[in-house]
Amino acid sequence: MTRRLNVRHWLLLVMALSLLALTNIPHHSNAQDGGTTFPITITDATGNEVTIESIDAIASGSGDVTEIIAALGFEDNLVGIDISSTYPEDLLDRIPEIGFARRLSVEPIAAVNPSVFFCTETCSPASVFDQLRTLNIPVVIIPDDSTSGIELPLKKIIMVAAALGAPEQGEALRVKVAREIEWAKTAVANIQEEPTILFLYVRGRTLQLVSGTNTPAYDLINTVGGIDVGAAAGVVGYMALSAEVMLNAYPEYIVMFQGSVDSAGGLDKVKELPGVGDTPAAQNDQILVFDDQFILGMSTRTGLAALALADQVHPSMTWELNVTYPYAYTDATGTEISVESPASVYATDETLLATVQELGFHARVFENHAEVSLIVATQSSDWASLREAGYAVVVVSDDADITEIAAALGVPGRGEALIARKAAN
Amino acid sequence: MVNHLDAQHLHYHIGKATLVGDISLEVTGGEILAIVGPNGAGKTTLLKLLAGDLHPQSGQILLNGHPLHHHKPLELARQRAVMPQQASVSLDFTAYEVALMGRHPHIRGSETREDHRIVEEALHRTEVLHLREQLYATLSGGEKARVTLARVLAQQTPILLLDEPTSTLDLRHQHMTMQIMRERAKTGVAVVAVLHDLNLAAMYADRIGMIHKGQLEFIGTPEEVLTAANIHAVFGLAVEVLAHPTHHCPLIVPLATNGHVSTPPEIGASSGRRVLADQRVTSAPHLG
Amino acid sequence: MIGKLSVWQATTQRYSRLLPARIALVLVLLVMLVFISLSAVSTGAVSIQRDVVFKVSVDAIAENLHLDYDSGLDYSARCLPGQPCIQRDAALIREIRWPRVIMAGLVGACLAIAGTALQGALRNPLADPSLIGASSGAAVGAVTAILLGVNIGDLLNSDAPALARLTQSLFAFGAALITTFGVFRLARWQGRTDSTTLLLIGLAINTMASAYIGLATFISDIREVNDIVFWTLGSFAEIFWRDVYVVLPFAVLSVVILPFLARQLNLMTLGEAEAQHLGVNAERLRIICVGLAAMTVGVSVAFAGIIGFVGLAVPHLIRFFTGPDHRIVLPASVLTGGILMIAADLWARTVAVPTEVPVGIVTALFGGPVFLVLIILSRRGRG
Repeated sequence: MTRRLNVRHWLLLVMALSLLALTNIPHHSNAQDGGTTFPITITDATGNEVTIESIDAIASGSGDVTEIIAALGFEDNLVGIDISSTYPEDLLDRIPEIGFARRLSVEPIAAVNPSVFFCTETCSPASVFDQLRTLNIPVVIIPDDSTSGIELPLKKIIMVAAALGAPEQGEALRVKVAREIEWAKTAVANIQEEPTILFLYVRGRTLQLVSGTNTPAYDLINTVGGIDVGAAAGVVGYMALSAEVMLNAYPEYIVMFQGSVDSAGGLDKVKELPGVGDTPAAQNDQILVFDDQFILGMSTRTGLAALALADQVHPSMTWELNVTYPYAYTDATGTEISVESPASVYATDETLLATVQELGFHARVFENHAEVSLIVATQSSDWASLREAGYAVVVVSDDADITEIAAALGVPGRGEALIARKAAN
Repeated sequence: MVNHLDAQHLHYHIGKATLVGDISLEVTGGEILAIVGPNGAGKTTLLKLLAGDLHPQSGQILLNGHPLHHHKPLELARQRAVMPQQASVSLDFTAYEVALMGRHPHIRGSETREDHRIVEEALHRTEVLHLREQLYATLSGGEKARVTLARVLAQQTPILLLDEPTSTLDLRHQHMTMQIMRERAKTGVAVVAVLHDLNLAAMYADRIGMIHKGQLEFIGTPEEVLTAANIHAVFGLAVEVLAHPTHHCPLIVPLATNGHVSTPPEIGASSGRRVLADQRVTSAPHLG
Repeated sequence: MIGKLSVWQATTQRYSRLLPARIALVLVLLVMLVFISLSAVSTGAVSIQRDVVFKVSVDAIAENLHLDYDSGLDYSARCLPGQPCIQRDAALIREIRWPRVIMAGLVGACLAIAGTALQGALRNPLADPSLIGASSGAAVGAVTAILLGVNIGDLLNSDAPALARLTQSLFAFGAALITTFGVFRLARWQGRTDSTTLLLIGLAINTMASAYIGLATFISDIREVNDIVFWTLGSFAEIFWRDVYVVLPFAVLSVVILPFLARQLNLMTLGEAEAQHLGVNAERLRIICVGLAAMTVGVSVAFAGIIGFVGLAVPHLIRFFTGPDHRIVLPASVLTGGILMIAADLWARTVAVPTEVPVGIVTALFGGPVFLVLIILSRRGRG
């Protein structure tokens, strides 16, 4: 079965290559984009010098790393991933499994014959790395410490990109993720209440832990302006759940993995755990369930995860998680326009761009782009010809403040939050 | 071969309970010394002291003139064999294998044809050769005792210490056992046997030591020791001592009045005797 | 079926009491050991041709013995991603699979011979390395090292993961010896050691140890829990040659010394006093057996975690077929323990690819029912 598929793959590859040769289109392989030549040598999170000969066959032992590798455009180089690699979603259907980040063993990894193996500091057992090294498989350990806080994903991205010889892609991804984390911080800037939140980890009937300081959950809860009641109750790392701990913590919100809820047998069973049912979180149906890798993967989606959590724990949050399209807006030129699509947003100059980005848009400066959903233009720009050329253009005054720009983008609530954030700084 | 076991002023106590208090006795090759006495008198403790299982708190035991504890275990095992009251084997060895264990002190490396011959002979003598392939654990109490006796005999030691060797045996095998002891004594072996049956002791022992409350009350020939007065004093049972009809030795017959033994039964004879006494049977009591 | 079996058992028992039959049994077990070892080395998540496995192994032996032999395999061929690769397969066979298989064999042998020696010396068929506190002591030591986060790597300014594991192993070994010594010391009274007391004290120590491990699991974080699970359920996944070199001398020591004590162990079945009467220094024999058992079990647990049931069940399995004579039971236990452990590990690492089942679960999973059947059959065999 697999062998037949392989043959077909080879055929396709040969056809594609000959097509490329005929049409003389530049070979679009990500590995060569940065112009990096292998082998490259980097120092990984454990201080080991790792020489990577080739990244043609990458094995990733941890879901967060897989996510970054894919986001950097090297998804097709993956030959083996662990079962926590749940994002991008279809990856596990296409790429062989090599185990689980916390219970790796050498042979399944060696079986996919990788040219490099990625994992994090929390992958275990660590001796598997030694075993892989004896097989001449370079092992790159990505940082996964508990002291970097919410910045941890950025460190991971830089290291992965360096190992893949793609520092530019890495920097772009780092900026994107850093910006999203900033959004989450901004989103809670104008909120006074500090909801009490607890992260609860459940594995079946045998393992129930609450988290405290030195955990990703603590960093995430702090980022969204909540109080980690596990940490407040004195938990460092993880501690076994008991009714005592639960009632001591008395959380308004409980955050859980979807995997935890499934393994417990559903939310009803979770509420039957010691003390859980008596908490305000359970009684007000405020047990928040998220995808494991999304909420605490500390990877490319951490900013979005923080925003999603903030939205759940702050009923008074003004920051619009999603912009309501279409919205109508009468701009600085007195034109009433209807903004239809959220796909991409541009600004006519850098200053304006900065604010647009702070308001939750991955916007760029407009330079004759083909596909444009919305251009935010200053009055002094050549907005008239842009509009004539058929673009959707919202004009703001040259000295537009945050409120005006936010209104122009259909996100007045985000504007309020950003003003509060700036004032706090 | 000077086979001589000399116990001098043995004293052994556990806590405040004195089990053996100042007992001295000696036994020489060629004789059978029977130790008799009521339950809890200290017979078994005395035998364990003689075997070296227990160490007396005071006094000493000389084996051929040397203190017992100066002998190494293997050396000692070539000098004396001990037959325990009841012997269990924790794993499924056959009767033959158990008897063969008696040869251990003599085996260098692996057992020889001579060892096997000695074991077979011993099994034959104790009439259990036909049980040789059976698992020891599946044998009856009496059969076990005879296999154990074979093991002790196979050890071929100049000194034999036996703790109630006949207690699980039927009448015939009780006498068989004692006859074997006589044979051994004739070849120069010194035998010390703890016995319950006074008549068995009377018939086969050269000397009898009667123990009561840790003390050696009487020691001497059967005629000297087994008197009605001595027995009443030690066992608390009224008996009449007759002359054995065919054998030159005393014959002890318990007496009873009004269906009761004459003195309180707690230091008296076993229930078996009482039943017999009730039925006014005057023959020798039957044990086992 | 059962009737036939017990007849067969009786027959094998009778024949196994003969010297040639015993030699034949040992030879058969040796052949099985070699066979299972080669099968285990040839099997795994990475599929390697059997002839490659064989050639690589022979080349490795030739290299180590400085023999002039070359199988003709080309080890210099460059490895291409996604292609079979001699270089990598050779490294896998030499550095991963062989040490693992040999370690499994050694640990199986160690546990089995320790169990046999203990059951004999303590006159108790329930005696098991875990019952005298060696296993649980070792686990307590390892767990303590995990919880305290001690690492001799810190002293050497190195953070190689191997050093952390080595630290845990040292703690495990030390704690196994201390615990066993402590159990033994407590059971000693008036210069004598009572087996029942010894086992009861071992049981009490075990209870305390499992409470400690439970507590440790309770207060430790997820990562540490994983480590603790390794120690309490056992695994051969992280074995290197250097670990084999540490365990080997202890295993050899036991395998060489204990058979010399076989006849004395036989006598011990009569009882301690009776063995003494037959010239056995029972106390010394017991100290030697318990000491060797504590060392071999300690070092086994230190590198492979607690693997239950082998020490208890293998001696029973052997005795079921050969009878109780330690002169055959000891060597047969060594070989059978090795064979069964290699098989259990093979199953543990191949049944749920890409993950592994802890080998301790496998031994309990299969050992339990087999042990039950054994008990029932031998009861019937006795009638």
